Amino acid sequence: MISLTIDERNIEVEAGLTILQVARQNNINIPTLCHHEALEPYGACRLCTVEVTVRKKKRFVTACNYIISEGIDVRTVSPEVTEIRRMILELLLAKCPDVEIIKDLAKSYGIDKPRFKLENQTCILCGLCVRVCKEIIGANAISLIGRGVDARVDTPFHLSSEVCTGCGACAAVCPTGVIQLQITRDKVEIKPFNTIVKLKQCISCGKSLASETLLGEVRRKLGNLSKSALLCTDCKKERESLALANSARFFKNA
Amino acid sequence: MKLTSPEELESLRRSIVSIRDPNRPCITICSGTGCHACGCEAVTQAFTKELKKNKLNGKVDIKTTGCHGFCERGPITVIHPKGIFYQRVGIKDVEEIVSETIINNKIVERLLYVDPATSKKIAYEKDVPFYAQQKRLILDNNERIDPESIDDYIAIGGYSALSKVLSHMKAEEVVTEVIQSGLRGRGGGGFPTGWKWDSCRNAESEDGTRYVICNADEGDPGAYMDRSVLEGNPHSILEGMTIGAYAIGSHNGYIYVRNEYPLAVKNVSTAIRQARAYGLLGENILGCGFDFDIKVSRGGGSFVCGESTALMASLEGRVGRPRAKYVHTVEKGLYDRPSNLNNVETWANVPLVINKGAGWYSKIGTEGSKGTKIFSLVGKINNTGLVEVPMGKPLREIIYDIGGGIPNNKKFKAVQTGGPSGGCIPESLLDLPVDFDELTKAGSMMGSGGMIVMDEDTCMVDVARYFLSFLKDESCGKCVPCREGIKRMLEILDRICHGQGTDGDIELLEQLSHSIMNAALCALGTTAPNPVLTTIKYFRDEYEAHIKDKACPGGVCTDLFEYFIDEALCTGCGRCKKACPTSAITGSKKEHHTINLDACIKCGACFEVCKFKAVKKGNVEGVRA
Repeated sequence: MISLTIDERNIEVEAGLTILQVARQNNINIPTLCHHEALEPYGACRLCTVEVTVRKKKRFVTACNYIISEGIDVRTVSPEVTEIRRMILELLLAKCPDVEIIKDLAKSYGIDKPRFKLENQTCILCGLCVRVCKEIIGANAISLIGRGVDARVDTPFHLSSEVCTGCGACAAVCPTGVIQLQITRDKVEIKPFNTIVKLKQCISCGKSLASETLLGEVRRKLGNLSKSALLCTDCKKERESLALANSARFFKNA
Repeated sequence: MKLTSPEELESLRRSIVSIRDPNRPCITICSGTGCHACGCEAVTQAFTKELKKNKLNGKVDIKTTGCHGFCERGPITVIHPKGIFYQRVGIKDVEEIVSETIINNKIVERLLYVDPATSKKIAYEKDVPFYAQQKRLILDNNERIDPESIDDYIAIGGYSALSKVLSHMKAEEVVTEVIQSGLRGRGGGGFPTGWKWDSCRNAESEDGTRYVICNADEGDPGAYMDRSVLEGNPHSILEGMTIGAYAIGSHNGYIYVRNEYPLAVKNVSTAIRQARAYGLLGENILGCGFDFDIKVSRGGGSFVCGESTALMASLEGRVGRPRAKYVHTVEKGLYDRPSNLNNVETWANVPLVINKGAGWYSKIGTEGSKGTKIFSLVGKINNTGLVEVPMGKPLREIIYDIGGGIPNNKKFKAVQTGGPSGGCIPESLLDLPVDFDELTKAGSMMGSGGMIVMDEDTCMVDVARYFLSFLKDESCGKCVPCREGIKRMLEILDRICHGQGTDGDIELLEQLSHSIMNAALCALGTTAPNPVLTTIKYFRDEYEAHIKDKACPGGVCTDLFEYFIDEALCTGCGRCKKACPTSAITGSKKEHHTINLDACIKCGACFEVCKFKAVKKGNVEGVRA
């Protein structure tokens, strides 16, 4: 066990946790933009910056990836911390003036209008989409491309991805809503990544079933698929209950 | 031939030295990058030809060496055994040098260096003030060896420190020796080298693997000391790394070097091959049971890859972006194994510390910074080149005594130390002793040792803008403060330089700086505001002049001044008229000329050519009125 203080509260917790994890366990709010519990900490938005004093030395660290140690003194709110967060939000608001989550966060820190020239962007480069695609889905369809101010998220060469399964995890984790899926009967389209994933239909009713990439992946791992694997859930259920009914009749008749 | 014991190394050294006649004439030609650019290769060929013509081949040696440091005077040729120093030697001088100096034992006066202070000609290298006032513990060897010859290195005692370590010292003794020497990392951070080794040695590794890495990704504009050491004396790096590996318990080393340094890549690769052939790298080094080998990895040209975590990501084949260092790389670095990364110059110091001992080494320098430091002295300075001085040498001595002061009798304005994210130090602090702590106190840093001198014609706002635009391009883009913050600071500076600065700009720059320094992910970001903060601190009046008076005191920001011709001084010679590319100057011969401001593109050609200082720069409003 490790004892530490957060905002003058003495806390005792198991070792190996981050400041953010401990804070959340104790209902202490630290704002984040690039953090997701299911993903490895990344430390890019720097919004979770807090003040930590270790052996009388004060420094600023990001709560999401700083592992707690014995006796540290954490301040999640201090004039300097607030100043850092305000500046980060002002910078982000200038970059993405129309993104709701940024507008709300900035407002909560008292910023309505940034002092910088406004840009018209929607991606804050938090990297959540890239990481969920890599760490959870394992597809690695997108990555951060370019350096510095030219950095953006995209597929290699902005070509329609051959490995994207169209799962939509990237859109689900995107905090700004810039990643939108357009799903029709035969395809999923992810506009910002110029990617179209074809969907296979249920061989019985013709409703969309799963992406060709995903089925291809399953086939690669498990060999040829049985017919029932190409049925949608509804049709599969129907067929199974029919089979059950048939077998019941068989036993009855016997 | 593999050497299988320390004794064999020593007997090899003796046999190399014994067949060499110290009195035999040797023409040493600097073959460093600077001299290469000045055409030393052609000079070397000319010497070879000339010696053949005079039937002297076999009687006189020619040696191409690493950088001598006095790049301003290249190509440099030193004639041994006397050490006669010829500067700016061209192909046309070769015949005379051979006939006069080699055959007739006379000095070619016209090729000697003239001391600007006394106007006296100086014949010997050791007497040239540029060299005489340095303490060249590392760089001196550059001129004594051919970087492609391991025998040359062994002849001057090379690999004896390794031999001593392997045969007489325990690993922990080596670490203690380095700790006691007080050696601090020369790459920028200035972390105590010995303690770093100690942490890496004691860090837990799941399979026992530890890595030793040499950071040769020198990317600061105008800095080339690591390049010169790696090009000129690659074996000293290999020896240092092998000693470090032994101390830490590592068997795998990497040299991460910029691909833009082709000569360094070539020379260090050759050195590795030679060291392997002699059994100084590989399995069972010198028969002492220690295995270690080094691979060369070439960087892809990103400045941020000089940052340790980005460098390691790049070594692994991933994109070179830094990660948080709350878990240090000595614990989890390359492939998540304990990794010890040191800069080229740090590794080059290691054999010295071992050979001469921590006691000797720690006597050089200041309380907190030991040993010597190599600086690349560039910019508005008479003696451009590489300078090695003991820590604590005052800036004034480096700039005036060694560097020879500012050219064209201009006034000194500032010196920028520590690379693009260092700070600008003003004249009032010229007596500052140069070491890690003093430079940090002044708001700058040691960095890897860049030193850019600026004269009175420099605009400090423009300087800050230049370094920030470099850093904006090199920011990896991962964290918000660095990516967005530097961009915005640059926007503000751009505005100021174009005469569109407003009240509050300086304060906003300061606010941005503090947030970036405290919140950025890696050292590129946290140090990026240094050039802005120091120029505001020491040259605030220049910022204010730009913002309030719309004037550029340095006469650099072209939107803030107009050229005009002073009637009283103009003789009507017509030189400016001829030089003007846009025909903006009118006036008859021997009569006062004038500039048509609407056609003037402010190229400065008239200003440069006027012999009477009649072309002047003036405040826009004043001139237009």
